[in-house]
Amino acid sequence: MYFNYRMLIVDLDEKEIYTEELSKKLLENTLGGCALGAALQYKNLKPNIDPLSGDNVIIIAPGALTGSLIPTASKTAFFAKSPLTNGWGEAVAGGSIGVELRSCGYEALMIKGKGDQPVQIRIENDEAGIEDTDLWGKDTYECSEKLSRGGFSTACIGIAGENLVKIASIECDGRQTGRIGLGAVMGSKRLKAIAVKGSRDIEMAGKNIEGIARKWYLNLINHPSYKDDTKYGSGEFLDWMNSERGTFPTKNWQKSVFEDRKEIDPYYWAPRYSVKNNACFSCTKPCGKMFTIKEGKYAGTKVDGPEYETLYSLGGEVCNSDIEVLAKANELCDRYGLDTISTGVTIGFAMELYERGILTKEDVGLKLNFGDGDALLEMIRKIAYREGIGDTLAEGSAQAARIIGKNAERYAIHVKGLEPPAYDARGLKGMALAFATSPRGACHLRSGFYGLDLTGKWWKFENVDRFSTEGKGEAVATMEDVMSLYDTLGVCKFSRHVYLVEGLPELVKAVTGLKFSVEELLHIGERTNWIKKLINLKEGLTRKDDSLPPRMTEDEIKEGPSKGSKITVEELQIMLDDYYAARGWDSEGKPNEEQVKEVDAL
Amino acid sequence: MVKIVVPHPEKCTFCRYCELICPYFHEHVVNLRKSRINVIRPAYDLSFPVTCTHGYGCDKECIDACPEGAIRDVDGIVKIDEDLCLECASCVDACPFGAIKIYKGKAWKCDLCGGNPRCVAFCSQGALTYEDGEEADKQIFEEMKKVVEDWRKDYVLQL
Ligand code: SF4
Repeated sequence: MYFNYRMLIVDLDEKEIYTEELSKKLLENTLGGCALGAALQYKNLKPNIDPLSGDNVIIIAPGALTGSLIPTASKTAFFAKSPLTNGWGEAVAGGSIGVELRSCGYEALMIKGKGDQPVQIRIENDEAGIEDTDLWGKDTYECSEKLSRGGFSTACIGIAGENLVKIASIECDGRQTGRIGLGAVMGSKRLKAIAVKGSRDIEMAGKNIEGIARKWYLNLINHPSYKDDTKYGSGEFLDWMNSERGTFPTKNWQKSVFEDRKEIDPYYWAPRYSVKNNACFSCTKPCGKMFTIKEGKYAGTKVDGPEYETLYSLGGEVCNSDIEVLAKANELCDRYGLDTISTGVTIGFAMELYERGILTKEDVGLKLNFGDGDALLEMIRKIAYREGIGDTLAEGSAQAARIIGKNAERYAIHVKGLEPPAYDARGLKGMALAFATSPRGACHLRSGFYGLDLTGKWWKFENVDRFSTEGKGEAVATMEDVMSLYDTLGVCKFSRHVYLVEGLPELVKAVTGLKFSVEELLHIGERTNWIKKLINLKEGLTRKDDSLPPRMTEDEIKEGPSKGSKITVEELQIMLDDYYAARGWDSEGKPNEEQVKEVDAL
Repeated sequence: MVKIVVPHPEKCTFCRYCELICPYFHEHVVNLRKSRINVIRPAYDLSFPVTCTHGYGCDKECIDACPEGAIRDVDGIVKIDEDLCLECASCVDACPFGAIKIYKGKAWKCDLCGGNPRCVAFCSQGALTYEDGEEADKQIFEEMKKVVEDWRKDYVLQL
C-alpha cells in the first residue's frame, strides 16, 4: 500500500497533536501535493481571516511520487493564505521533508493556531511534539544545520519570517519555498522550525520500480540539455534572454536588456566560483551551484545559487553587475529567509522611487542608486529586520507603494501583490496572460508559459508566436493544468522536457498502482485550478485582480529584440475572455455549477 | 582484487539517490533508515557519502568486536551472518565509519550488492566509484573517519 490514509494535525493553540483520516476517495482523486493541498485548504481554510493570525492554516503535502524512486520527485507543497496577496497561497520546494513525512506515515501535515512563545515541531513516526526552541533569532543556515542532526529533514524560517516580513520564505534543507510570504505565516505562529524523520517502509505498487527509475535516470542524464543544465544551472540562457529575446527585465522593468550582464552570466561565474553542484533530494540532475568566494571583500560567502531568477532580481533588476555582490545578496536572502525575487524587485522599485525623487536620502537613510552594491546589501538587511524604510518595504512592493503614496503605485511591479520573475511579459504575451491569471500573483511556475513563448514550442504546442494574443487563452489554461499536475506528483519542472506529460501515467501506475490516462491526470490539474480560483473568489478577488501593472500595459519595451512591444489593457482583456471561456467560467471568472459540484464532492 | 565503494565528497550533490536505491535493491522498499550508505552533511557546503570500506579504510574492527563470530572476511569482503547476530551492537560501536546499523534485530551493512553496487550505478555525479580497494585513495577514508566521528553520536543507531 503506497498511500498513508491520514494527515497529522498540530494545533498550536490547544497544544494538541492528532491524526485525521484522509479518505481513499480523496487521495485517489487528488493523489497528493498540490491537488491534495488545494482540496484540504478548500475545506479547512476560512475566508477573510487575517493571514498572520492563528486562524491561518499551513498544510504541507508531499507530491504523490515524492518518496518513490522516481528521480527528481522530491517536491513538497506548502499552503497557507498568503500575507502578501491575501489570497490563495502555495509554494513548492525540494528538500527531503516530503519523503520523511511519507515515511512517518502521513500524507499531509496541517498546522493550526499560534504558539504563545517560540516553538518547533518535531515529528518522528507516531511521536510528534511541540517543543520550545532555542533557535529563534538564528539564521536558516545555522537553524537547519543544528536541527538536522540525527538525520532530520527540516523546514525553518530565518529572521525575516520571525519579523513577519511579507516576502519571507521557508528554508527546506537548503531549498526554499520562496514566494508569497509563507515564512511570515510560520513566524506569526511563532513556529521557527519543523523537523521530521520517519522510518516506516514506503512500499510501491509495481514490482520493478528500479527498472523504471533506471529508464528515467538514463533519460535525464542522456538528454542533450543535461550537460549545460548541470554545468551552468537555470541561468544558462541568461545571455540569450538578453541578446536574442530582449525580455530580461532590468532597472525595475524600465529596460529589457541588461548591457552589463557579463559577470552575472553563469558562463562567466560558474567556472570561477562554483566549487560543486547541489541537488534537491532524489535529483540526479543537479542544477544548484555551490558558489564560494574565497578572497576579497566578500570572502567566506557560500550560497547554493544564484539561479536564474535571482540573477535578475538581485542583478539586472537593481542594475547590479558585480557577481560577488550578487552572491552575497543571495546568501543574505537565504540566511534571513527572504524570497530573492520579491526582495530584489521591491528594492528595485525603491531605487526607481529614489531616482524619481519620491523617496529621498532622508526617507531611506542612505543613497539608493541603481547599481549600488553596498546599498543593495544594506537594504536586504533593513527589510529582514524591518528597520527604517525596510519596515515599509517588508510589506512587499504593492503595499509599500500604498504606504509611500505620491503616485508610487505607478512604479510598483506586481500582480495581486506578488512581484514578477525574470520574463518581460511585454514581449511574451502568453506569459503576460499567465501572470494575470496565476492564482498566487505574478508567477512563472503556475504555467511555465515563458518556455512556449520564448522557444515557440513545447509538448503538443507548436509555432507559438510570442507577440500574438491568438489562442493564448486556451494554451495558458492547459499549461496551468500541466504545471499543477507536476506539483501534484512532485516531479521537477526544470526536468519537464524529459518528463513529458505522456510519460506520467506509467510513473503513477508503477508507484501507486492507480491507472490514469493522460487526460485523467490533466483533469486533476484542471480541477485543482478551479479550486484555487474558488478560494480566491471567496477571498474577494475578482476579474479586476487578474490584471497587470501599468509598467507592462503602458510603457513599451524601449530597446533590443522586443523593442516597441507592450501588452495593452485591451489585449489582456481579450485574452482573459478567451481564457475564462476555455476554462468554462463566466465573464467574471467564476467556475460553473458542475465544476463547483465536482469540487464539493471531493 | 577486491572492489569496494569509494566516496568522492567533492562531487557529491547531496541528492541522496544512493540512499533511496540501496534499500530498494535489498528490501524492495524506500526507507532512508535502512540504507547501507548514508550521506551526511556536516556543513552547508560539505556532503559526505559514508559506507563500509571492507577493511581498506580500517582494520576490520567489527570482526574482532563481534562476540558471536557473526562477521567474517569472505574472500576479502566483510560479511555479516544475520543468523548468528544477537543484536549486541558491539560492531556498531567498533566501526570507525558508523557503517553498521542494527535494524529489526540484525546488524547489517554494505554487501556490495553482489558485485554491482546500485549506489554507484545511480550516482549521476561519479561521487561514488566501484574500484580496487588497494588502489583507493586512503586519504578519503581518513577524512571520512573524521567527519563521522563528529557526527556519529547523532546518527548511528538512529533507526
Ligand atoms: S547519489 Fe552520488 S551525488 Fe547523490 S548523494 Fe549519493 S553519492 Fe552524492
